[in-house]
Amino acid sequence: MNSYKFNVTGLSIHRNGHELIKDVNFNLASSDCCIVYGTNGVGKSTLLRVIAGLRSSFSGSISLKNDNLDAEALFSHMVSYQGHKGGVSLNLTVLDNIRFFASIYKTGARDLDRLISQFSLNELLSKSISALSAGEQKRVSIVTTFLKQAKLWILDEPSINLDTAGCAALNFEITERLSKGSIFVLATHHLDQFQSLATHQLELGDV
Amino acid sequence: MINALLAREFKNAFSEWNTVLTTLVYFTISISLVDLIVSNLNGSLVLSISGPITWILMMMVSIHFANLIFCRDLEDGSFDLLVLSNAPLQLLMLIKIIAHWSVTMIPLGLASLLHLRLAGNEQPLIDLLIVLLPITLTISAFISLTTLMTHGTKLGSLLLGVIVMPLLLPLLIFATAATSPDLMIININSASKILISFSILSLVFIPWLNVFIAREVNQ
Repeated sequence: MNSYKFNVTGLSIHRNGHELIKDVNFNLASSDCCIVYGTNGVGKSTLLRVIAGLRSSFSGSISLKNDNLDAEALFSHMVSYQGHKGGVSLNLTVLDNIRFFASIYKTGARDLDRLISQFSLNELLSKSISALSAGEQKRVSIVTTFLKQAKLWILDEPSINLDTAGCAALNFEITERLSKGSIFVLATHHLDQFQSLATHQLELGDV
Repeated sequence: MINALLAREFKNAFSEWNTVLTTLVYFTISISLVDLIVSNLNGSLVLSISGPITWILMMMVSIHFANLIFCRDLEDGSFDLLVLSNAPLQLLMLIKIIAHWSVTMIPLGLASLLHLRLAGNEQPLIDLLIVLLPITLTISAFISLTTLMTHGTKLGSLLLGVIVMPLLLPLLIFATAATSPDLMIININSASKILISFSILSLVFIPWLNVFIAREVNQ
């Protein structure tokens, strides 16, 4: 099993002319899970977008293994991100969305079937995303995120809108991936749900 | 992967059928009203101005409708996932332009062709198609660029019109030259060649620009 190190050093982020996040540092290794928490508007989502490589205006350094963020092609292949927006096309069916990302990520049929049944999407495959409830849409988003064979997983409020079974499936999937050496960074308000998985906690406060 | 991108973008574009229908109805009503107004003019004048009127209305209608597919990925968050995948984003943008062209501009182009014929234009069909093909492709490409540029701004649709119209002006001039030769001093063949050059340049460079703009907007 390859060992990875994810290091964030002296990270500061400015937004709309003021310093949103100042001097954040954390070092994670394979099988580590970092929970990011804090009050609304404190910058959790912005921090996750920056460390996922989706936002380039920051100071400090972010590296996974020895690849710097500048080596975007290498970094992006190892990162899977799920933000507030689901990342699925509302006009397409569940199957269309899942098939599209499975094709992009070259996911095997076995993994695909396993995730579909684990998140109880079998009955929903032919439905349009816009016809699903918020919780069902979240399950589809989670499945599309887990289709990628990534090393670093960055999930923003992954359990929001999920029912008890959905939360259990999510925790199971994260535990499985952690046991295989993946690194997780999760932003959440539900600390209790991920407490057993967390190896690190990062509280963001007002700067 | 190309098949997956094509299937997704065409399905997304076809799901906008109601917007495409609105575009066509709006175009038909607008052009019918203009025809009603100019119907009292003499026949040769009506024939001369039918070309420019058709192109102007086609451009205006296409600017204001059916441009949603270019920003959908930014709105639903799938652009984030695509950026972090190995999907070729320039190809994605090119496919979006072609999907928009197929679903919106082909019907609009055919409606324009029908109008030109009803107005008495007797140019060979192949000549008109050689004009229509590049002009509609270039409109789709410019609309994709300006839609992304104005995405998320408060006056997005107003800015879209203000930015895209000057870009389309040269296109309008050469399209008019190709379909109303008595109004312009430019040779039809030259006008067609210039329009084809426009469309090729647009399809080569605009997808790259779109990726850059989408990344910036998505920050």
